[in-house]
Amino acid sequence: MVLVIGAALTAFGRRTDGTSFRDWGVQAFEAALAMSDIDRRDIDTLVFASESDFFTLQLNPASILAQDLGLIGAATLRVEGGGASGQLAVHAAVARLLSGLARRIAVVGLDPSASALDGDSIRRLYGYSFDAWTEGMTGISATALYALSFQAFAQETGASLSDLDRVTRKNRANACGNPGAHLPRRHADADIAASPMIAAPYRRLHCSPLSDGAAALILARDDGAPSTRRRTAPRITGIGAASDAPALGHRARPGRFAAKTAAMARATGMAGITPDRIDLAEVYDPYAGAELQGIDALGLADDTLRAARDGTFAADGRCAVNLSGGLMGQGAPVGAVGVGQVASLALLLEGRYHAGLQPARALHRALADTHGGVGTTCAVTILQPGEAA
Amino acid sequence: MKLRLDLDYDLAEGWLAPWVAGLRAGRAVASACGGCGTARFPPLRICPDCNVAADRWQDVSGRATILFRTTGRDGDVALARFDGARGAAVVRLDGLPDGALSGRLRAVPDGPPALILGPETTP
Repeated sequence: MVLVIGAALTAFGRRTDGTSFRDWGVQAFEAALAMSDIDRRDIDTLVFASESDFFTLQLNPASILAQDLGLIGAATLRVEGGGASGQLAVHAAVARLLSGLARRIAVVGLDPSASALDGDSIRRLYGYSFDAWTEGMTGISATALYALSFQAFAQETGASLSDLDRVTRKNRANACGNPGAHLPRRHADADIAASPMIAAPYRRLHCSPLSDGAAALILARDDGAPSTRRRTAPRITGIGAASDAPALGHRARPGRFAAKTAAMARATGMAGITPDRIDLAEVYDPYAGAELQGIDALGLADDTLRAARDGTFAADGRCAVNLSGGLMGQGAPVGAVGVGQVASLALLLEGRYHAGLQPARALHRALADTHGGVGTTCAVTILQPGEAA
Repeated sequence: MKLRLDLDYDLAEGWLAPWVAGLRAGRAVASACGGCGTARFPPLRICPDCNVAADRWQDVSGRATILFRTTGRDGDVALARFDGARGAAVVRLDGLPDGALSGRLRAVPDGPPALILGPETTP
């Protein structure tokens, strides 16, 4: 049993206050540590996630962060898996705890994706996170790759522009209840239609922003949690990961995220549940269509498009998706995303989330989903409330 | 603080050298599976059908059929299947009119390997 005894996020956005990624890591960690009711000296391992040393210009960043967090002496490691880096870091921590290699672990994810480099440089580097030898060196952008994948999905399912607009409106509206969100907005369809075309069908407002930020978790084995947190802390009950061919053209169905389906099967198998038991999900949405493709692959509804159209994934729906605003609304500091998803879900399950977004109904199972590439490196985590929640 | 970093990479092409040389010459050079013989472009080391390693290179047609196409600020890009090979490649389109259904691989003699599809000039 792995317990989430501490969880925190900094605000996500473009930081112009002179603080650095090292400050954000400390801020998120200290908030999570305070919630955990343990001392920093009780932490035996630091697992750190960031996508690229090009953003931080710091190789071996886990050692530097360990120093800043007062964790010298703890085991340190850094996990990288593109957009899935943060969630894979959570998985690495869970594996260490379940194996008995650790009792209490700090997981910290961060990236200065907005402010360290100009947008064009970041987008060029992102191009190398697919297949650098084909797409990257040809100068293909992430947006173009996602657009091609969505076109294939739309050809099979009938997904339309209005479906993309609906996701955009939902996630940015959810972000309005999240004071730490990068893009809290209430878009009209006309706003979306008037935004520049980046790679058809994706307009700028269908895309997530580049953000700065950090998130942190304190995870513990059952016998490593303080008595004050042992019964109330949410549990991680399932993790699953899988990979697909990096190149869309080497996939039988380039519009489907097959690795996500495989990761979900592993996570639900470990948790002993079926996907229809999930009533709250943070789904990886770097683009509006990717949320629909993700929901489809995760099996959160029998008919994804019909469910999206009838409000199943709305804030008050049967399975609320991206209450935080997701990447599109809350923002996307890559290494922090997966850690932040789990942190947000843990806070929601414990009833500690932002008041305007905390559901009134009881929550039973929550899902965090991220991927690197276009659904290439997939990672899924399932949580449930603590016994006394 | 402001900091500028200039990096000059010299990346060995390794196993992909014949493929890269093909792109520079405007030839579509595919990997061929040592088991079933299937040609794949872009190349794959291990055949996903029979799990056998590719053991040779073979030229396939430089003509490709466009499966999906996207345009916008990020350029004119397509997922295209090259005649004679399994798989499909993401290519940048250059000079192909809207509605074009196919194109031909264009040589990129200098710089990093790039997959550029231009108009078919000869039948």
